[in-house]
Amino acid sequence: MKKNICKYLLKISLLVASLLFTTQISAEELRWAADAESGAPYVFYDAKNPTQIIGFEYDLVQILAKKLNRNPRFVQNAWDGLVPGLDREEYDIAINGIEITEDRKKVVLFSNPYYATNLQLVVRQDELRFKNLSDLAGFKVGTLTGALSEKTLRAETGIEILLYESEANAHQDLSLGRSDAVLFDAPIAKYYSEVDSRFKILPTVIGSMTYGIAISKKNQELQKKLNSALQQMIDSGELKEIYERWAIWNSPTAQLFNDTSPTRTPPAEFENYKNNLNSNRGLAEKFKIYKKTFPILATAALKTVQVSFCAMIVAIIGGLVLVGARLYGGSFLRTFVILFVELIRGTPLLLQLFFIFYALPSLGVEFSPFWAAVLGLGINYSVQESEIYRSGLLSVHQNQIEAAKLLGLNSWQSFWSVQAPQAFRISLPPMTTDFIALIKDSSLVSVITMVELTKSYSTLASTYYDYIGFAVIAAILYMLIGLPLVLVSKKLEKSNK
Amino acid sequence: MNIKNLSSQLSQDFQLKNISFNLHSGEILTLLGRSGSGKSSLLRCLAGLQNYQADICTIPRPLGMVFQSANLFAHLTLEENIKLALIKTQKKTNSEAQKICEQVLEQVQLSHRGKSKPHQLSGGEQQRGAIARTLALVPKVILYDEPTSALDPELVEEVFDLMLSLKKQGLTQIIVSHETRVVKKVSDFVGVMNQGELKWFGALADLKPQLHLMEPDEKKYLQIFT
Repeated sequence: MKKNICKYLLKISLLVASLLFTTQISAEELRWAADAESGAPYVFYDAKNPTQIIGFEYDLVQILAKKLNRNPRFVQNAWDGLVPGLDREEYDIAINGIEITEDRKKVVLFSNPYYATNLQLVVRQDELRFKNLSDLAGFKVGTLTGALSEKTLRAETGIEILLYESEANAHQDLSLGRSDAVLFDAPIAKYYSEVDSRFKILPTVIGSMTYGIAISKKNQELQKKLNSALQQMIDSGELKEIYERWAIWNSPTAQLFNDTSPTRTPPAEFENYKNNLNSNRGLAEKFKIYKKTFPILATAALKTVQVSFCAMIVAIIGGLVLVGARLYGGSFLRTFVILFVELIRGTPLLLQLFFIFYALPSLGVEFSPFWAAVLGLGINYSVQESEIYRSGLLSVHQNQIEAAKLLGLNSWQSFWSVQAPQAFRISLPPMTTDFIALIKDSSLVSVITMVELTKSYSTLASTYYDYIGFAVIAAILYMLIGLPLVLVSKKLEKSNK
Repeated sequence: MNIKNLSSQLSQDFQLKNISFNLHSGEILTLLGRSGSGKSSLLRCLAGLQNYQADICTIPRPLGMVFQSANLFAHLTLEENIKLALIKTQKKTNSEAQKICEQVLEQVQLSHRGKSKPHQLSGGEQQRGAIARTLALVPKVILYDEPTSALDPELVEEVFDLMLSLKKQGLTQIIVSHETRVVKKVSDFVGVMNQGELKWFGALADLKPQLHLMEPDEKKYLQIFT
């Protein structure tokens, strides 16, 4: 009988496994990852139609996928997570101005380079002091985190490096005089500095680099296919045409492709981009944009609500288990809980999210981005919840517990009828504060491919160069999300008085 | 109630030593003694909240105890406080419990406050409510740990009256108190505690002639009561 059940279970699990497997195969998708916040001209949202992704890499992937006979599907991930995310198989390739370096080659495969470029220094329009990197010793130079430009700056001596997440912020600080220069990949300089009359690009080219498509080490077959498709695109001139439309065809790439033919295609996309760049929009126009983009923010807010709500439930259950083990468990369990609490409390949430999402899979434990986010936030907050419950339980007057004992209540009855309800009342205000903090901390889950409210805000803000307007909308949405929590807790507090 | 040679190690340097006394039903004992003499600890031993050894320890049950403060469960109404143990431990139905509840509330003259939460009651009402909760379990003994020290003077009388009426019903009561009126108005016996020992036990009237046998500072303390 037992054997039969085992067989039956085995059959079912095989069936499920094969179903999962076949759906993966039959989809024939080419899942490509990038950070849409990384900006123009790589992969970014179209200001005219903010749900649409554009960029020269977007164009490249469309043709590439066609040549591979697969449907391209975009997967959003924070730029820092693009390479580690490949191992999780959430996506097949990552393409987002990722420089081919020896370090990265150790962890992922790269296609042949699809673009070659240099770094360039951007300074204020009236700047006369600097010609080259070596002139900047003793000055402040900004750049983007994690990019090759950061490494280049580190190799120089005497430069104070300022790191930015977005091009817009780097430029802002440059114009305010908080930095003296910024170092960018040439395409970024073209799209963000050349179009802005406050800045000029220094003609000196610095270093050289090539972009490659990153592929999981397990996927050598895909690497081969990508390389042959890329070669076709180079040979047919399709790739060059993309670069010409985006006005980024340059001599290093011409050398790379061994293509010295004259340019033919007008830079239509670059012109489009420039036309959309009007940052001095009137109020009416701004509100039109807010109206148009509101569904994007609302969807992202919904994601924030979902993640936060599920994480709160995990936090409550986890908190109860932890506090139970700590106060009523044996000495072994108690020591374990104390260590666990210190470990979680003593390390950043961001690190924990990275660990769950990128490191656990290598130990054979894999969660979807949503559940990794829920678990990461939930576990982190369960520790704080357990401490809140613990202080609540401990602050119940000893007389109350002794009175219960004298009335003949056993310890279980005393706990549930006397101690727990009073502890709950004491714990309610700090719990509310804690959960509102959780909602705000949920913005960190953008590092594991989740597009939530803050990520949406910063993407939209960088698309439209409107950091204030979108911030106000996002702030209001956050407060609206937290509001029911506050109201419920107020009501509970009242009814418990 | 019969206690013979009760001892308890309370901490490394403090213990109750060889405490013996007898009480009959309806008698009230007041324990006197300065802070740290072991009065409250003795009560806790008798209540079973503290471990002890004794040659003989016969305590009639059920037994109730009333603390200085924070007696009533803060999150429940007075009625719920009284009904909780009746329903949970004596398996009474809600209507049975309600009946008992009304009886004991009437006994302590709080029938009109049954729906109030503890923080809405005055200190005297809280103490009487706590006594009512104990009475619901029909105790034979009630122990009080400084029941009136947190009360306004005029409220103290409320509690005394109640103690005397319980005495008439045959309850044995032990009171730890610094209140001279307790000693004079309600007690049958006085016990004097000092450094964990019961130094003296007897009727208040007998204490005065023996004061000259006590140590000077002990004498000074006890003179207040006689």
